[in-house]
Amino acid sequence: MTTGLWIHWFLPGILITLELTVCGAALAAVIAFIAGVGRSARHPLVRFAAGLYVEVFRGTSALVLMFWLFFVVPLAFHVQLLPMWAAVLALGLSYGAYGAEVVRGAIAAVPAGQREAAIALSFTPAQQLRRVILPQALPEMIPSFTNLLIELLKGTALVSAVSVADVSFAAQLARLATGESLQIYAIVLLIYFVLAFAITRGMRVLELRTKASVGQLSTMEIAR
Amino acid sequence: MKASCSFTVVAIMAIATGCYPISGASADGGNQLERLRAEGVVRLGIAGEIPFGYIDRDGAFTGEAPEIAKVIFRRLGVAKVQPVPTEFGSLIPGLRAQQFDVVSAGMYVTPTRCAQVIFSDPDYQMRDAFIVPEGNPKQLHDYADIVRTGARMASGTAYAQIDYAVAAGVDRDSIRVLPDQLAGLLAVEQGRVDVFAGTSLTVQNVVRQRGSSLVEATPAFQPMLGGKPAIGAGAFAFRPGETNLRDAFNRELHELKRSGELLQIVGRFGFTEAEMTALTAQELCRP
Amino acid sequence: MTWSWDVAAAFLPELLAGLRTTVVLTALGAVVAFTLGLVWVLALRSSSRCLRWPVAGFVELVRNTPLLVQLFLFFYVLPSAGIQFSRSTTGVLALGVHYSTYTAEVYRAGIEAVPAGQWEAAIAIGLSRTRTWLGVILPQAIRRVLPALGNYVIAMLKDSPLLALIGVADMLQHARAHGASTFQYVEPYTMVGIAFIVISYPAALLVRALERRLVY
Repeated sequence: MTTGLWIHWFLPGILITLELTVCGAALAAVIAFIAGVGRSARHPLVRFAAGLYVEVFRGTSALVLMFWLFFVVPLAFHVQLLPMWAAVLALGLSYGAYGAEVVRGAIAAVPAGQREAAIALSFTPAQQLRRVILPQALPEMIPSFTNLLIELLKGTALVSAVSVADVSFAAQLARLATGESLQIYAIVLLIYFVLAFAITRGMRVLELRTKASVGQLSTMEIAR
Repeated sequence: MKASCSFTVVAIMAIATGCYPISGASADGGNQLERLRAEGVVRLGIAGEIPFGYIDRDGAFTGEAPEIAKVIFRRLGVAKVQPVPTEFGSLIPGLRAQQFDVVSAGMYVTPTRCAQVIFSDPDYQMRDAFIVPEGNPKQLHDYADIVRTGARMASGTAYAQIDYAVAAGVDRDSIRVLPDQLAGLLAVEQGRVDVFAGTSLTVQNVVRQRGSSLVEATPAFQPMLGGKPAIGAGAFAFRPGETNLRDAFNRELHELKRSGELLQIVGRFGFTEAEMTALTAQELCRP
Repeated sequence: MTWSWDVAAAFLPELLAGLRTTVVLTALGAVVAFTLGLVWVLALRSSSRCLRWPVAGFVELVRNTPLLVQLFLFFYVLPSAGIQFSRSTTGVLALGVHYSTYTAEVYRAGIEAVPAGQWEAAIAIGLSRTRTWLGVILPQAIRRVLPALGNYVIAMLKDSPLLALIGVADMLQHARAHGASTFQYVEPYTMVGIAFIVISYPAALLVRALERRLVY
């Protein structure tokens, strides 16, 4: 592994991986909330539409979706997506569907009394959601979201199959350039491991913060 | 409410900038050259194949086709080139999907490909060669030998060599398709296949790079197609409709050939006078 | 949208051939994942630190890094170590090893959910460790976590297209090869995408039905 490969391909590749993870997570979070809330809605059509999205995209393979967005959309719809956009879209749609289930489960786990109290206090449905339900559901979602975020990080490696220059792609290039497969792939595994570790730590901090803001910290967590 | 309005506006703008319509083939020859001059950078699709277009050990972008392209595009007024490495089989769809502007991977001009893209005139011609186990135990020297011995063959995705083998009588479904020439060499080394077919320089370069004592490159031979020699001549591919860009490129390419500068540029990649060609894309596109 | 039913019909035989490969390789991968996962969880419960720590480190490393990179590692590096597997075998192993780190977690949760009373009763009636595990604990633990294991089989199914990237002739690889030789991408890729949804959805329903029956 030479310096040139690091400077021109691996370091930019790590940035691209991070960018994909962050943007993919943002899109997935937005979709997850919309679909998760939609699945818990009272209107049957909304529930059905959200349910359809979740079932279809939980059933798709992320890699096939990526190939589809990269090769079929330009040919069939005569619209070209910028590679990063297509990648983020594929990741966001795939993981958003899983996130929707997490959101739905967490909303369902909020005690019924909370919703009833909010209705009694004349909160509009939007206010109920924003002020009462979601803040309490949020700490519940974070452990599952952490797992999904790690899955998303691992999923970004798929973009190397459609030639987006992330760190896995840099590994492929380096393999062709130097022929040293073991060293290269071992380094790349380590890079992903470090990123995953950082994400887990960061999400733990987030979990403690959100719990604190709704008074759900356990005594052990307060003590720490 | 104001917040959600501006959010929607931003979202729509974001979506609008993220996708754009693909222009169909235009009758006026296209204006890609003007656009490239305005942007100042041309994206070259390559397939990581030494010596045609690849990223070298130091991460630098080089190869026979990229080096020619660098010179020509500089003369056409586009200062910088940017590599877009991809798989060989994804070069044509990637070009058509506008993932890059030119295929500069030394791609052979074949009638099938001519239906998908337009080619510049070729800048080299080459014969095929095989990667075989050391000592060439099955004595494989061309595709007829593969048919005769029933050897297990591999080649790269969308390589022209697959078509040459099929024309010689090899069963298409029996050909193992591998992602690149290094995978091919490893397959021969490990005994998964008996032979990997590629262009002669591809084969020689990967064998030399690997430095393995278990495999060797056979001498170059001329493949046949329909009873006639199948000339493997590599050129640059452009999107259909961009004939203005292709013609400007051809003018500069012919100038390089006339002045002898072409051979100087590609000499260091192993190309010699034998690989120089005066063929045109038009001849090669004819079935 | 440009779509040609002729092209779709022409691709159908290849799709079905690829489908068979996909299903078979996923099933084999699942077998590897289930078996190896059990090995990991038993190793993690052993009293010897020399066994626990390396296994825990390995499981964490594999679980937190992409299957894609692990697949390429297996494919390109193993042969240099003298281990020569076919592409399908390499793919099945990579898939199985990766998902074994998930099934280990699932098994662990299942084992820990078995009431302590079961362990105590087994000791009280004098069952050996092996008999306790095989006859008492594992049957209860596994029954509890079958739905979770089922979900991971579906996840493996959806990750199986990665094997196309090392050339295994599954559905995605057939679509890629078809596209590379005929330049027709729309129909094959769309059909492959739909095929996955069509298989995964009933499988997911099955797992949910299993969950309703077994867990409550």
